[in-house]
Amino acid sequence: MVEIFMPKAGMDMKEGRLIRWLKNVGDPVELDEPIMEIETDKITMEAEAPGTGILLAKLIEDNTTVPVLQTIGYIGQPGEQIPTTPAQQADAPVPGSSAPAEDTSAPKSPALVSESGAIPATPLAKTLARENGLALAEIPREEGRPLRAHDVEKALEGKTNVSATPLARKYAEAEGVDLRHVAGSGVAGKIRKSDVLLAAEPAQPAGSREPVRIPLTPIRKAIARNMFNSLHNMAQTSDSVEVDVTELIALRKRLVARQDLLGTKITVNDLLSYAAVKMLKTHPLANASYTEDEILCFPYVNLSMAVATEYGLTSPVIHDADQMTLVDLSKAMRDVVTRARDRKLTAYDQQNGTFTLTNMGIFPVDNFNPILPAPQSCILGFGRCVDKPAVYNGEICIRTRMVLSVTYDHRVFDGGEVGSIMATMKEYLENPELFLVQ
Amino acid sequence: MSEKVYDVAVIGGGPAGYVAAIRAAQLGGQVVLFEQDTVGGTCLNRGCIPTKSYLKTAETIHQIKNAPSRGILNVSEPAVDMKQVVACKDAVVRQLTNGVGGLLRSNGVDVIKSHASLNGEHTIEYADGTCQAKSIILCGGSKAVKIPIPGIDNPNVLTSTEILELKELPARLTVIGGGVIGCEMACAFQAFGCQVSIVEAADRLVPMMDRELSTALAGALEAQGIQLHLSQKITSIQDEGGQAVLQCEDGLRLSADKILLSVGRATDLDCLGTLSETIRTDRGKVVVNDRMQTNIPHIYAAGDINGRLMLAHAASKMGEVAAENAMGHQSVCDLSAVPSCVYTLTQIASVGLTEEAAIEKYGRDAIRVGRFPLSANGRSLASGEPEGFVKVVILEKYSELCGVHICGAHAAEMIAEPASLMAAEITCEECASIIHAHPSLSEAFMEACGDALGRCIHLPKKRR
Repeated sequence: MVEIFMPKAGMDMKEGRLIRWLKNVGDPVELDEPIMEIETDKITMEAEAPGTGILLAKLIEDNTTVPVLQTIGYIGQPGEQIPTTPAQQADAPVPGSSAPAEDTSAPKSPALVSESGAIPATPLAKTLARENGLALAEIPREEGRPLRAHDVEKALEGKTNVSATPLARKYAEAEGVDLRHVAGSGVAGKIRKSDVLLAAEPAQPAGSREPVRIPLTPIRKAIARNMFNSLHNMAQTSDSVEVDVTELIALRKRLVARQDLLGTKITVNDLLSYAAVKMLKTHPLANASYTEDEILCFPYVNLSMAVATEYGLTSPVIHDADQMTLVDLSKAMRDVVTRARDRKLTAYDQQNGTFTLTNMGIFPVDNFNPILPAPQSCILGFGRCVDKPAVYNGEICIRTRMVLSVTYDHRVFDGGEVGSIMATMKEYLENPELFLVQ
Repeated sequence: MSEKVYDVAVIGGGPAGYVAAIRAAQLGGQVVLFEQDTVGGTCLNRGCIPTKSYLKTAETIHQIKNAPSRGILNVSEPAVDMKQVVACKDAVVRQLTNGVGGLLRSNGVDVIKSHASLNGEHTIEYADGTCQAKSIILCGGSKAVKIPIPGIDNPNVLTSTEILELKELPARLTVIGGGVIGCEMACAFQAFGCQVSIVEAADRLVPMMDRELSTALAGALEAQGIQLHLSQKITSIQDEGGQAVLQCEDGLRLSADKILLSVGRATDLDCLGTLSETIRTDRGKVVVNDRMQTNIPHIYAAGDINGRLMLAHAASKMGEVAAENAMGHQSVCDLSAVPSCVYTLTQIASVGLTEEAAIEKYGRDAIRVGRFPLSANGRSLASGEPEGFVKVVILEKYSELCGVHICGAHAAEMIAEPASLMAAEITCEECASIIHAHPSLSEAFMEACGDALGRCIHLPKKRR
């Protein structure tokens, strides 16, 4: 017998509405055949049968909302008895718990393998496997646990998981095009010869008045969806302040001079990140998320760093950054940024960020308005460091200045708090010994 | 008149128009189709389908004549009854056009039997009034071209439409134009018992196809007794006592009872109506992009009218693409792997680039040509049809199939395999490795691919 549970279709999905069952009790159902329509906070979708057999029972009616992973029905053989108390696996994070977004998408039901021999897998794992053309049976998983998204990610590493025609592969090989960077225009995103040629030579003939059509890669689509949803669903507002980083730059020079001793070359970004993490100690609302019922303040800092790559924006996460020394943070930052640029990030590397930094300092940019990565309550942006005349100790002199930009969720905190956050950051950056001693 | 505003209005019920109408209806559109004649267009009513009926009769005559050589006794000399030939053809046409009518009805398309043309960017004028539509798909098709020579209006000069209505066989028939229609008609009427001549301006038959196919076809037609006059420029047609006499520049004179004029087809722009100056055309063809849009984005043009590729199956694809775009989808038309078939006796068929075109595009050193003669194919031999070959043109660097050219009794069916594999972007190496049934004609394509790669099993070793 296999349990049907309310699928968890995304990391931040808490509950789902069963719009309607597509099958009646007693109907035969096949593994992966659509059996119900569900609605999340973002989309409606069909959900598939987790096994083959007949639909034995429906535990909820059409048009009912239940927490994700709650058992809502059973598939099995005719005459099988259904349990009287279904195992409930509601996904409810406890405020202040040390792991609010731990992967709870694994139903801990004892009936992990159905009699039909189907591979138990979370919906996210199934979707990932399907999108990447992997058979569930091919993917190694932990004994006694259903296949999880993490397992699929692991199986995908090192595999050229692209769908392409044989001719497209020949062209890619001969022209040195990496198929993983090519958006496919064929059925189900299959890469065709023309897509490879487009990737190899994107230039338009001079004088053409046809618009250049750039196919949407999956990552571009995801960025577009996340950015739009973020601005659409949160009460975002931005502030900025110019700070004096002359001391910080001088400190960095001294640290770089002793990099052999430290074992890492400290960057300005490392110092800024370290200062921000220390700031969060006294401003927990900037390391939080808004939910319908409450505000979740996290007792740890998973620091997310916006990284521009040739394939688009990513935000790898340094988990438990608040437990790190400056040297630890510097090494972790270098590791994760390198892997982001090499497309070597795993799903884990991109999950559960609680606070984000974005640094435009290599560009001629001072003040800007970052967009919050939902559901985080605060993102801090750094502009360029620039020498300019400033009043320092009552005199006009040349100082190194930088603009600090912040965007925050006004549902979580108000202007007074953001003023206080900026004051702390300004204090720390202008007097770096204050955060270094923490 | 009705106040209803349709989602899509289609002018012309040929292979582009009726397919566009059905596709738009499938996608949920309220659709109206205007056709002044019977749905099905030139293809069903007076082109592809009727000629195939005639050519099957011709093929049967050849088989009867050939029967004694296969050991069949008591075979008498066949003769045709043109009335029955025409009736047989008409029955096929009726069944198919009725079928198309039924498909349109079942999809809820309103079919209006009337001439129709544009009378505004969203307005169509027809016999009983006007009609409004959000998007319009123009599928006006094409008509036979006439050439400006003295005597072209001679009553014995027939178009392809008119020759299909002949119920008496002319003793001598001269075909002007050695293209697809001319060659097919020549084969049919020669088999029926006419003495047929073909006069062609170019130096070969079917000039658009690979030169080897032209040569093979010329040989096959001459073997049937058809007289070929290539590189001829016609100066006039004279009437001499009921006989039509064709005069050529170099002095050639051909006397015939009937002349078939088949020098090609030109777009029919009649449906542009009051927008004929607004909608952009180039050399008589409506200019469209890959989504089949004209310069007015909600007006589309599909099929012969845009002159991209004058083939029924290409027209249907264009109609489908136009309908999908008209219904708000994003669809483009790729015409790089469209098969082209000539149902002569023997047949020829092509997909992709000719050898000449491939050399011009990629250079002689970049391409490889593989050939396999049907005389080395068991099934062809057993069937007594050993004439013909399969030729593949590949771009060596990518093992890419650029073109496949087939001559043989069943070439039009055989071309489906390479056309499908090219559309799916399967490389020549894979084609040579796919297991083909033995004995079958399809093996010849696999062997030709093997030859292009220097690994054909059933050909003698070549000195390279």
